[in-house]
Amino acid sequence: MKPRVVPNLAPPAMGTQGDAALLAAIASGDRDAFRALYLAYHRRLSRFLLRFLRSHALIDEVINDTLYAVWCKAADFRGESQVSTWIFGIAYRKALKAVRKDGRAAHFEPMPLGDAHTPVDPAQHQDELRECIDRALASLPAPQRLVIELAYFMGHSCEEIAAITDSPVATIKTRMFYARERLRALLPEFVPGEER
Amino acid sequence: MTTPRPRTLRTANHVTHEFVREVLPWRVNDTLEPAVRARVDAHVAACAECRAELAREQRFVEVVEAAPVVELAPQAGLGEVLARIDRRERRRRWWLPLTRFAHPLPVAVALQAGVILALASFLIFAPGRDIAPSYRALTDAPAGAASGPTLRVVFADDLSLGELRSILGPLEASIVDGPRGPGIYTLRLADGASDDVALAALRTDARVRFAESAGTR
Repeated sequence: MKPRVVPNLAPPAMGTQGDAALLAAIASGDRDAFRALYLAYHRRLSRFLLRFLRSHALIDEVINDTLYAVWCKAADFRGESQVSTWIFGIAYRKALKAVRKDGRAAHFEPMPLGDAHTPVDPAQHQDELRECIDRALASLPAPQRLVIELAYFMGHSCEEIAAITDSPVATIKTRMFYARERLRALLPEFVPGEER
Repeated sequence: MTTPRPRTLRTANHVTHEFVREVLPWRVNDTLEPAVRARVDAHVAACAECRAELAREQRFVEVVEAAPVVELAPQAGLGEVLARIDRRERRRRWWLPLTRFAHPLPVAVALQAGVILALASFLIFAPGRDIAPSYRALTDAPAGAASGPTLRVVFADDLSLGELRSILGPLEASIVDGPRGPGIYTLRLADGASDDVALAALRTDARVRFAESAGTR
């Protein structure tokens, strides 16, 4: 599948009731409903998985496995959580499994962003900063990285993340605490309001 | 060594510094409950450290979010999943009629019973299969194309091959079966020979412990 670079846009709004209606239709074997849900969630899931898995082939595999599981288990959905929480929960488990199967662990050392006294191109500086953040995120243990991803970039509440990961809220807060500690240590030059 | 995670405290009317630090990510993504958010904001307004941390995290998100996203086209993946669904549905068509009307366990048991019945039928009624019992009683006649009087004989335990020949030779008898059970041999006499004569001879021979007629076969 050929990747395409597009501007970063907010995820498409998909109402909870709309998702639930689609899922009910899928449970009765409605393929048009499945197509609609697939297209709505493909983008959200690829954004969620992109920084985490990096390999496009692996991202495709996890997305397809996730949405195939949605087709197979749609009738089992009891409405105890939002549809998006349920789907992200499936994706979370499959992503963790893919990472464990892949067996690659990222290694990261703090990377200086350049001499503070040397004027640099702001765009270039942003790129370097982003690369630094990406590498720092990649160095986190998978469960911590996923909590960061779900909170900061997917906009989930602490309780939603607990439901997605099937973990207690306290566990999510602990993972977030250690992830932020680690990021703080790895990104010492990333300070509030710093502009070069 | 990792930093120990501080205990977080929150009362009905105010939140602690540690609590605010802990929930800042959810202040950044604006998913805190309104009441909690108001208390967090009040603390942040008064706490320079939390204000700096919030600004840092907001910038962290801005930098990452500003990056162009490599978006994967969904159509190929959708086609692949739909093909997988087709394969699944084809497989299910075989099972669905069975599972629709009955619990899976009884269906599985019934199928298992059917397989066992079919196997048993094959073993019993398979064409060309010899259905004669695989055992033979002592009184059964020995198999063979030749016919003539037959005798059942038990020889002495220490009988040598030469002595056996010397017993059978004069009677024109041959061993057609045995030894069976406690050393019983079946002898067949030549066609037309008298089994009475042969029995009389055998019963007087000290090397023969037992002899009786087994009829003419």
